[in-house]
Amino acid sequence: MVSLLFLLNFIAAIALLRNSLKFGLSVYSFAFFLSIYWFQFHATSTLRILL
Amino acid sequence: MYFQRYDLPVVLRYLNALGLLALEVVLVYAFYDQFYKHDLPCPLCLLQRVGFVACMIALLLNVSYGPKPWHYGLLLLSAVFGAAVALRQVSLHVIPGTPPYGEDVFGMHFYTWAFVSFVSIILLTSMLLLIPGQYMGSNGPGFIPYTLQPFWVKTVITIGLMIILTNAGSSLIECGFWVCDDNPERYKLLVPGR
Repeated sequence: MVSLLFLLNFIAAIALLRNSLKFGLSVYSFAFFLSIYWFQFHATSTLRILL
Repeated sequence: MYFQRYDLPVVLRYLNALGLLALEVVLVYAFYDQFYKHDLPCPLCLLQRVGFVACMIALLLNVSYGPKPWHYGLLLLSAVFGAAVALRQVSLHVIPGTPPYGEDVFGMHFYTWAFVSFVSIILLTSMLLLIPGQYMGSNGPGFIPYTLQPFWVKTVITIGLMIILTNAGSSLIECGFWVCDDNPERYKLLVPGR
């Protein structure tokens, strides 16, 4: 799962270097929101274990 | 040193490239700790690396397309995300008696240093936003392709891409296609588990 976040950022970087601003930013934004979701998932799962 | 008005966007591009290099040094040190000292990153550690990578891409936007306020906005958002993840990990280990995760560097653990780094990025970005005349408008080249960048900038960009790809590969080998262990001790794809 985390490797997917890195891969998406890599794809976004390549797209931005090739002047594909819309596609690059779309992938970057998707990776960003996926990162937030994954952080929330980890945070709540840890909280569940502690409680 | 006095920079003429039309030089400022170029100077800021190079400054952003230096920032990109600084983040690459951080991630290379993380690799040194992972591969040389066999200190595998935990899930939150990996998320902090994702935060650094997100900051790198925002800086890459400034280097390739020229400084723009919304690029700095993305940089700030990425740094806030990274700081939140780092702060969560700090809070998990801050209670007296709770064992820390990983080794410390100059008295602070990696997650603490990561929090300090992300806050520094936020402060530096705020200061960069204060510089007038850095946004080119109709002046300047706009998008500069990778092939037309100076050699040292191309090197910095290439190293950054390699670091992102290496992180993708190492996290895949460590966690496999499953959830990463909270306290990883092995590379799941290399050493089959119990």
